[in-house]
Amino acid sequence: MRLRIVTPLSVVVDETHVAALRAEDASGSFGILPGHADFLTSLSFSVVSWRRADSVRRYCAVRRGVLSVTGGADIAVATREAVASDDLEALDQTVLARFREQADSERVERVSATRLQLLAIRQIMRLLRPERRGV
Amino acid sequence: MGGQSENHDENDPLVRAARRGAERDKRGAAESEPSVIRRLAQIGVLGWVIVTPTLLGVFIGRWLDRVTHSQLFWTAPLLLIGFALGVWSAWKWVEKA
Repeated sequence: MRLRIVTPLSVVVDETHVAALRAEDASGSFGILPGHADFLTSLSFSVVSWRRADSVRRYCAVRRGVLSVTGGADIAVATREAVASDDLEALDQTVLARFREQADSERVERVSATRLQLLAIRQIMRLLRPERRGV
Repeated sequence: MGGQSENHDENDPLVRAARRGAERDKRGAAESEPSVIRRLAQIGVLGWVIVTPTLLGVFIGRWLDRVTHSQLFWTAPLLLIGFALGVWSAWKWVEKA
């Protein structure tokens, strides 16, 4: 099966050869095997886990989302936020690290935006200074 | 403020979901029902736990009888002792499992 987990900003997981998948909605945990009937459900805050054909297990924490199965071979998850990992034990730490990263990049963005704004104002002030007009 | 945002991160539903998933996985590995083959092996082991000390008792008894030139003086009680030991250890083992 093919599995795609997408967020509004990125494709977090795009894998072929998925042998089995587990996910969780309001009714509890469920499994998807190849050949599953067409299916649509809304996931809760949970961990989606799947086994690849080479029997490697992978995990992805999702911030709610919509899971659809089409043609018994195509699984798509659309979610607000997704963090994938090979290690379930360390998944929470991975999520926390991602949060920290996001906060950091937000801070850097804010600083550079402010700097840009200040530079622009300074430039405008320089150009509008009255003594320049006489030159 | 840093501490507060840290705390906020810790309580994020996404982090809690990840922790819950890990905990369930661990519990599933620890408490899952053993397979049929494992059960059969358990029964097989139970048999051997009883039989081995009994046989051991018989062999030691036979040897002692041969050395002391008695007929069944050692074999019979050692067989019974071995059997009792086997049953007792099997009982212990079942209780533990």
